[in-house]
Amino acid sequence: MQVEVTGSGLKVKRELEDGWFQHVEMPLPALLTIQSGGNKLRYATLMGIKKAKTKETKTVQGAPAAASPAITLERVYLPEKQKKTEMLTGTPAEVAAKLVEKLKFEVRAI
Amino acid sequence: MNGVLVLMEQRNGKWNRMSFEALAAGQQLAAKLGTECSAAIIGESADALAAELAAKKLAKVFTVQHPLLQTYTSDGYVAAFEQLVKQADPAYVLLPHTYQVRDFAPALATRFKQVLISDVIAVHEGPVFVRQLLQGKLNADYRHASTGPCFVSVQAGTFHAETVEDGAATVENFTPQLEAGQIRNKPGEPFREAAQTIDLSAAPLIVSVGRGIGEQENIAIVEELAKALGAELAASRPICDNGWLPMERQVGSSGQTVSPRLYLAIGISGAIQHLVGMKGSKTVIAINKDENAPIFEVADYGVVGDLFEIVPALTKAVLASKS
Repeated sequence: MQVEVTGSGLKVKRELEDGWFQHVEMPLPALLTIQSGGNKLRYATLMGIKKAKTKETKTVQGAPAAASPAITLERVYLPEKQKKTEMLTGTPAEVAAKLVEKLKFEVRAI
Repeated sequence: MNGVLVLMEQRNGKWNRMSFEALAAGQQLAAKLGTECSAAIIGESADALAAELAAKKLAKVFTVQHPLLQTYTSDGYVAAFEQLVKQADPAYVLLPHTYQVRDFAPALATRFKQVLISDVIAVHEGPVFVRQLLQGKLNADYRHASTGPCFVSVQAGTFHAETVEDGAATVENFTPQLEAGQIRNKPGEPFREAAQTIDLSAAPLIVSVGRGIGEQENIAIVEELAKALGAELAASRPICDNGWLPMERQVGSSGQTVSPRLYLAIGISGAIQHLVGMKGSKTVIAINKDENAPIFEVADYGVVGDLFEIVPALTKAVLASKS
């Protein structure tokens, strides 16, 4: 959530579960992953975008892996639906009436 | 290399309840493989908590203790668990996919030249481990392909803590060799920014708002609906990140976990981090303009449409039916 440079390393604010936070100090080098909400997005200006085009792009060759992969990806697929979802359709007023029906008789929220 | 080892999580002598979901996963995997399941607890209160595990169907319960493990550090946990895994020599190491596990488990797996198969939502014959890709839009099957131990973390709510089988286990002490110089990070005391005054986990009815609301001032229409229903108002992370509602109203893995009678999700797409916080709800109603939003995967009733038209109409209809 926050990264501060201290004399010899970094002081970071970490998010724990359930609304808890913690400060952690560490020497460098360190690997950090950043949580959302820590910084506001900075959008590039038109000038910046133009300037970026003139920058040199470096290509780095990766070395072949020393070991065979520890896991294999077998299949990628659309998830099977776990719940049967009943879709309610109609005008906003019709949908509202159907929802009230469900809220009254099934959820018993009204 | 044999058996399944589950690494349980506790803080200040209190279980992280997800540990028992990992334990259920471990027992089920061991049964499928025709092998035995063991468990380990690390830290100061390990002894007190071991008694509870000794009454479960486990081969062994390891208590991992050392003065340098009193407070959690990734360095300390990685070093201690590395030694334990080397000694116990399991084929599979299972963990709950908590924030703490995300912090140390990838490094632990790397010590064995393995990768962590993280946030697993199902284990099929093989074993094949299922993970979600692209915010839950796709599933992917992974198989372990190496000779080392296989590290797997399981998603909250995937396995049920109640299904942990009882039995008897022997408790074994394990003292890792650690030196202060190995622990590079210095953790501070955990703290909360504001006193948690709203306990969403006890609310029977929750109306929750997400990014689809667009602007802070639009939240008022959702607030009116919550008021009409007598429900608590909650939100997904982006709303709280923007400061539109206080963090204490956030539902999801970094906020509160809720299981109300009604969860009405308005303009919430349903990122995994949000779903794990609310998928235990009895009835889920989702209103979203994107018919492919993952929230509809867990919804009982879905409405695809413009929330700015539907929500005010619903508030009106609720008030009318109450009067």
